[in-house]
Amino acid sequence: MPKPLDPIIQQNKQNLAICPDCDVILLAPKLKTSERANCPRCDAVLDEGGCRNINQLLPLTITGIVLIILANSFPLLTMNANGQLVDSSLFSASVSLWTGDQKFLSILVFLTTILTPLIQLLAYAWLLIPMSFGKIWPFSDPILRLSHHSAPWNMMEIFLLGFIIAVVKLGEDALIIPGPSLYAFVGLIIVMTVLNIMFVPSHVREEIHERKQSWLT
Amino acid sequence: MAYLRAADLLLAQCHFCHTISKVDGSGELFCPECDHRVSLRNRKSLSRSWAWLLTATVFYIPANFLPVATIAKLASNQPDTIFSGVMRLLHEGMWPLALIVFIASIFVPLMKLIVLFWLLISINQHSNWRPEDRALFYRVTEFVGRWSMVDIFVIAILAALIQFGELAYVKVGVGSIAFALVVISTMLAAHNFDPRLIWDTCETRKQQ
Repeated sequence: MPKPLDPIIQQNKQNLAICPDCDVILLAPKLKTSERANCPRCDAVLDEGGCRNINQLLPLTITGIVLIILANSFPLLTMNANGQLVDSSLFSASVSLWTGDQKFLSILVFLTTILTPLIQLLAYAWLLIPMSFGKIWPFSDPILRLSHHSAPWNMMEIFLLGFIIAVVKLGEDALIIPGPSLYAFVGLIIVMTVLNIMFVPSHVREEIHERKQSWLT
Repeated sequence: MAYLRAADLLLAQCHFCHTISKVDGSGELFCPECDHRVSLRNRKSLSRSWAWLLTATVFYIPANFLPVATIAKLASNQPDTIFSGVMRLLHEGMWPLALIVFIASIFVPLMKLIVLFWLLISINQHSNWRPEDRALFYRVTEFVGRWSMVDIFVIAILAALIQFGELAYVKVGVGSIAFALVVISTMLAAHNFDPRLIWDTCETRKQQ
């Protein structure tokens, strides 16, 4: 084992990176916006440039919040089957499972299509809004972690694929009329995708701390 | 090319804020910067992964043999399993849909189970076979797993739309609960798996 290296590495921790997937010690990549660094040994993503500009992240977050409200306020589609009209909204998918005595699936659908995206957007807003005023609201670290860990459970785009499959299946027997929420929902998926690429938790955290430091001095 | 392994120097990087800390003793600490958990290797990664994977395997059987949904239309009232649902789509001539549902609900879950079994066994066997490829398989498995939920969403949307009393309705079957549990537990198995273990076994083989 290369013991003599130990003090050198300890002193230069700032300039080093460790691959999260294969544990190799590397020089920390210096990335610009929308660049990405991969591990030379295992190709894992080491770091992403993302976007450090709050003036770009905050408008997207607010757009997302407006769209998530719209997407949940109106029907996604109206189905006309022999004169009978049935509306379906995002929420009604969970409700019909709940009333059909499928409580577990109902909660699962509600969590993955409504609650998780909402939590993510509110978490982003909680961090970004005070930053634009030059402030930090409390609990920024736990909230940053919460948004980070909830990301894989945000399944809106998968719901959209399921929605398309269901519509094609029903299209033969009934007339499907797209509702206003459908446009908002598609827009929301695009905004969330862009936002999740641009919002890199470690960089946003750095920004928060740099600001904190500059007020203290 | 020789690579220096961080764990040999008792160093670990916080996955969250990218701060490097020295991890002594138990091999785990809370990041001094952001309080996130930092460890040389995820604690009990293997046993947790195995536990979730075996859970998924157990649920996989009812998920495939019990009906996921019954779509009742006028006279016809046929409970469908995942496989018979795909076959029905194929017979009705909707082969693009049949293909999507086949990939998302049959191919991906099965591949996920096989890949996770293979990865875990390869680590238990201290295999040093093609770590780059195993790492790639792990990453693909982790990325693609969520898409299996699509069938659950289709059933939820159909249940919301088809509600004409006795004439037409959707009855959700036990199979879909089992299927959702398969998707969730394989996601958790992949999440708990520590990919650094793939490379560890290669290192120890080389040294011996």
